[in-house]
Amino acid sequence: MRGAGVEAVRRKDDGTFCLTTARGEYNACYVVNAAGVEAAAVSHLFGDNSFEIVPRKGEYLLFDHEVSDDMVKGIVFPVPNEMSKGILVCRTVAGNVFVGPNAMVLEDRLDTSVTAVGQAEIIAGGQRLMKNPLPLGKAITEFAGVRAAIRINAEIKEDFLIGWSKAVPGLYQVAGIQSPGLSAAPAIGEYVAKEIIKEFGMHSSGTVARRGGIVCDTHGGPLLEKNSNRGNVGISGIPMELFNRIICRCEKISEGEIIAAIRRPCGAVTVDGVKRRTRAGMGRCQGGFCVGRVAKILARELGVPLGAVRKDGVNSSIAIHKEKFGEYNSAKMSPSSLDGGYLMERTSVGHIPRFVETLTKEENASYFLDSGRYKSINIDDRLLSLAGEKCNWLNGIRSSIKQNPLCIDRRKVVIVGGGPAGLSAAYGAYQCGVRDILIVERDRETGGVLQQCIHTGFGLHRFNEELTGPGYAERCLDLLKDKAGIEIWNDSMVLEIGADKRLLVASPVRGRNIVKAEAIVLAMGCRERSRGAIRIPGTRPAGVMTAGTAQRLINLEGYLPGRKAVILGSGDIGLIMARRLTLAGCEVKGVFEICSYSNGLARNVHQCLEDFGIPLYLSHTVVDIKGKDRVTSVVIAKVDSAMKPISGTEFEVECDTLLLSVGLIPENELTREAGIEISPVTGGPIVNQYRETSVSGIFAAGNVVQVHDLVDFVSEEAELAGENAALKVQDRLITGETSINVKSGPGIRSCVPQRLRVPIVGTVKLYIRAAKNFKTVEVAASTGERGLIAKKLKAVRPSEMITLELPVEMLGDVNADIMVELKE
Amino acid sequence: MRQISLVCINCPVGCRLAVDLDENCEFYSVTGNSCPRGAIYAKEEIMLPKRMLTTTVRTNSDVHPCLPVVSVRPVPKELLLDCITFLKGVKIKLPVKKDEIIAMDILGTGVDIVASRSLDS
Repeated sequence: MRGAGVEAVRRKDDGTFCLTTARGEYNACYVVNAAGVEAAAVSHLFGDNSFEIVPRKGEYLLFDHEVSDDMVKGIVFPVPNEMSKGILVCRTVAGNVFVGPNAMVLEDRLDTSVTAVGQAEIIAGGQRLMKNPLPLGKAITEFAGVRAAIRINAEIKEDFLIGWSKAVPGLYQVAGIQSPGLSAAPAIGEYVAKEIIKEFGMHSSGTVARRGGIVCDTHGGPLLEKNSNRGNVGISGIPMELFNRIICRCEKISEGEIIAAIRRPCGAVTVDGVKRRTRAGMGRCQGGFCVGRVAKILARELGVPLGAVRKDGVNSSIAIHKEKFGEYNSAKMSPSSLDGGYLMERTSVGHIPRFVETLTKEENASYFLDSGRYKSINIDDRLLSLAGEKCNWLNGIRSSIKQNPLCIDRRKVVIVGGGPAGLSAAYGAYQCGVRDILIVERDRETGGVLQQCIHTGFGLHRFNEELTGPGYAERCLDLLKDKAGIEIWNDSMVLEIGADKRLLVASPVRGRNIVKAEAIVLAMGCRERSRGAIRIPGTRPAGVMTAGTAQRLINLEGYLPGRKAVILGSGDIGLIMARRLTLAGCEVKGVFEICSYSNGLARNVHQCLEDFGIPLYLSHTVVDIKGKDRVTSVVIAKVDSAMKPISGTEFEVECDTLLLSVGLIPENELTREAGIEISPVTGGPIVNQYRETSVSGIFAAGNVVQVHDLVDFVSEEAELAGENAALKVQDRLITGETSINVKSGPGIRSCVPQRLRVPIVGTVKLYIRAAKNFKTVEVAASTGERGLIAKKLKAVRPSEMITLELPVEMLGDVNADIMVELKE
Repeated sequence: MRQISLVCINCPVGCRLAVDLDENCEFYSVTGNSCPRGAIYAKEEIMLPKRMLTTTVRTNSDVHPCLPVVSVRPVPKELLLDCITFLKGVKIKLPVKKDEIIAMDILGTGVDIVASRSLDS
């Protein structure tokens, strides 16, 4: 029974307790007080004032599991002090490394906010234990919890308080369960249960269900029928295909597992509830990719509109239906109903929600390898533990994953990703004569991020007309239509790629497939940096999301992320979203940019901000986020030339949404696991002029190689990669044996390709990013003493890619590294 | 004679335009554009600012609840929000083909709003 805090207690004449909660009254002979930080408050309600709770907060910083091997294999402890076991560097069971916790006594026992001071403390504490610098650039999230220490007679007891209340017969206290509380909890539970049964005897019949030796009551409602599915955690009843649709890409969590987490006893009813049970949203993108999809699954399973799905607390809705926004503004809607205000109640027979207050109903959207090498074997382990027993169909999948010399599906060219890069690569391969091309796309249709970029500005170079994002995607797809030999698998996720060019693909309709390719083109695109990557202190309410996640919510689902927004980051994505939110009916309070200049195009500053009177604050950043369930305000501060907040310049901006547009990262998890060499500068695979990576036969193009700003260049690069992949499978890709490097000299941040096969045949086009702004500058390439080419440019900015074509006639005999630089 | 500076929004280059206005604050001449479209933009921005309109309209589908739409030409900037409000009340029955007209001559501007992409039902 959730949402039922105990508000009052009285003793009835027959000696039993009557507890008054927000959801009605409950009678009990015995009550176990396991209320954590509220244990003292609950105990006082019963009349036992023998102890107080001293809340102590501990903050944590969690790192991407890709850096775990560079940090620790197990745990590093400092020598403990009286307050706590100290700040550790430790691996989680999921393979991440965290730093923390500190110990800070609190006034407000419900304060789980993350603070700048606390983060500095745990980073310093962790750094003291580590030889190498902590990889702060690879942090993915920060969080905090509150310990409940016991104080008796002004003395803090660092021990558990487990036992019958002396003052109140029938009340069993289980309080002060601090470290090692989590590990001790199952044993404590068994002990307490035995104590209660021993002292007063318990009948085994009646309204008590047993599971695994521990006595528990499932819903606080009537007993489940024997035949019902409901008592079973239940992969039975969930269509098998759904275990092959991956929803959380970072942690590889399937839709089937999410549904199981919702349907099981005490199942999830919120997005965070799904996260805690399945790990969906705990990965490096911190839910940016999956939160919308998880919310839709929750909406479908619980039978409520998307706008009623909550992140965690009662007022933490994630989205508002766009169409209803006008209605929300009218006076007759009370504030609590604006978020839906739904209280989900589960009866024991299915889950029929009863709404506390209803809005107008709307139709539900019902939309949405050998063990060491194939890590996805972990999915099967999770499924087995869900089932509690061996299942034949799982064993079938297991054997198909083992290395099999007779591969299941052989293809010539396999393209990972069906966005603009993938579609253009397929076109390039087709033009070269290959008639066996497979595109594997994880979304239900191709187009990638273009499907949500409904604004114009695409295709001016490639198609000679100004298209919207969806329009450009359709044109790319049209080039492939009716061409025999091109197959597209939608709703299919590549789980792993081996250096032997074997791919493991999961999809609901085909199950698990192993595809053996002769050549692969990687076109997975990029993801957005999340809040954790820039470590904004404050609470963790609903309403904080990346600009792209909000863009998808508005343009593909028809929901607003909120009503009053602040945008952090003035790159093009942030600017475009400022306009989109305004046109959709949301108030944008301002766009805040940490640099002293905007990274976005001047045209976007004009048509997205100036047109609507949205203020742009340069050299400012967000230093705190406030709000318990939902954002209520953010705190902004000016920053100095080192981009550090200046104390005393803080001001608060009231809002319910914070959009983050703070950078894009090429999505190279598959690339890294295949053992392909990755550039630390671009975050993408190192490629040569054929866009071949360090593994022969694996090519890459598009945002996965480096973040582009014009999709036209993405298509150009991808066609090149597709052509070369085709030439490779036809044995027509003649490349030299050795490579030279293309070095980034002064003024250059990155240059692609990073290597060139020599001898160089044909033109080479370099894609360059400047390290800073230049007014007038010359971009020059040279090898040894000899200059190759120089080009004068005006108004060069890091956010606008420069291209430099190296002249064919000068390249033939180059066999030493080429240096590229920007000179004023 | 006055001079104001504008950023051309026609393409990602964003040329900085210097526009001369005569005594009546009307368009006189422009410099700074690297193509003829910039000169046209400067003139229109002074006389009657226009903007391309892109938004989404609802559909009758659960799988694709939103259809992206775009104006075939820029609409007067001051009518932008009114056009958006008008399109909020539009619900499209799928299927729809790319460039199919969703709203003809929206709010009397002479500009059609068309589908940005095709959508099956």
